Amino acid sequence: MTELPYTVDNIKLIQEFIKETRIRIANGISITFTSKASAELEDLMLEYDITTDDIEHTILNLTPENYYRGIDLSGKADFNVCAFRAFVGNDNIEIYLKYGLEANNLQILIFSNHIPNFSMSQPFKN
Amino acid sequence: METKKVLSRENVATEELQETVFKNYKGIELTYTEVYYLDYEVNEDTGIINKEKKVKHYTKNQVNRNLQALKSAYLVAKGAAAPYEIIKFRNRYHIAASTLSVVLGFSKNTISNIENYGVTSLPSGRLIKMCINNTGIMNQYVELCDFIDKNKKDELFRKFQKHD
Repeated sequence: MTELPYTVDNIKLIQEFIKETRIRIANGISITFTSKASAELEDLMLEYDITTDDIEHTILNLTPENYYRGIDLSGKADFNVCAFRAFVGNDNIEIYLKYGLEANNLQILIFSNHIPNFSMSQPFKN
Repeated sequence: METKKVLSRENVATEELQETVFKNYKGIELTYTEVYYLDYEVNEDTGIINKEKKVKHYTKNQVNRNLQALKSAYLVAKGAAAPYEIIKFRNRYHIAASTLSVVLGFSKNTISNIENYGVTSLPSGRLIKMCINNTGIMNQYVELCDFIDKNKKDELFRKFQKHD
């Protein structure tokens, strides 16, 4: 995934992505999971008691500062995919959170929600 | 049997499917049934949908149910009572779920919820297991229960005695 440079336009782009997510959830669109994301959440549940509501809560509280990688600006993708360094649950467990917003429809699809395997930078956090 | 339907990405009603999952967690083999639906695969790096291949997807509700089933399997492996063990105990002694609940000190619906959705806490799951495996303890808790009358208590004592 590409890392967008730290510019006003790109921060705005991520802001719009987060805002669109909030609008969809507020309108009753439920988050969905891939098989990999579901298996990762199982591990988070067994280890830290993390639930789907915790993941949704984290998503709703993202800011551009959490940005890690994405979005493809070519406009060809069916899903706009973005990755974040985020924190989840009462113990603020750090996770690598990657999800996509369907471009021509309303699906919110979680691809990854796991403990990062490496130290994650936050290019939009100064 | 009618199966649940889930709306696919293209707003088409699709079947909810089930599969037995085997998971090894910290050396413990866990087995549970998960629910899912099929939809076209999405490449997580490019965001492109592959219309040639359908793969497992999960709604939030399905993930919740799967997490609950997994947690219950984990707690049973750690010594909690399995739902089928409780049902077997109740059938053997002909005890209503609500009665067993109040005798053990839970609210009326707890045993019924556990039988339907699995155990949610290790201490309560272990307590239930200990009690259903020991009618001596059960007799004691029946005696101490404030929520059932004397006739009911005598009936329960007789049932425990009859099968021991």
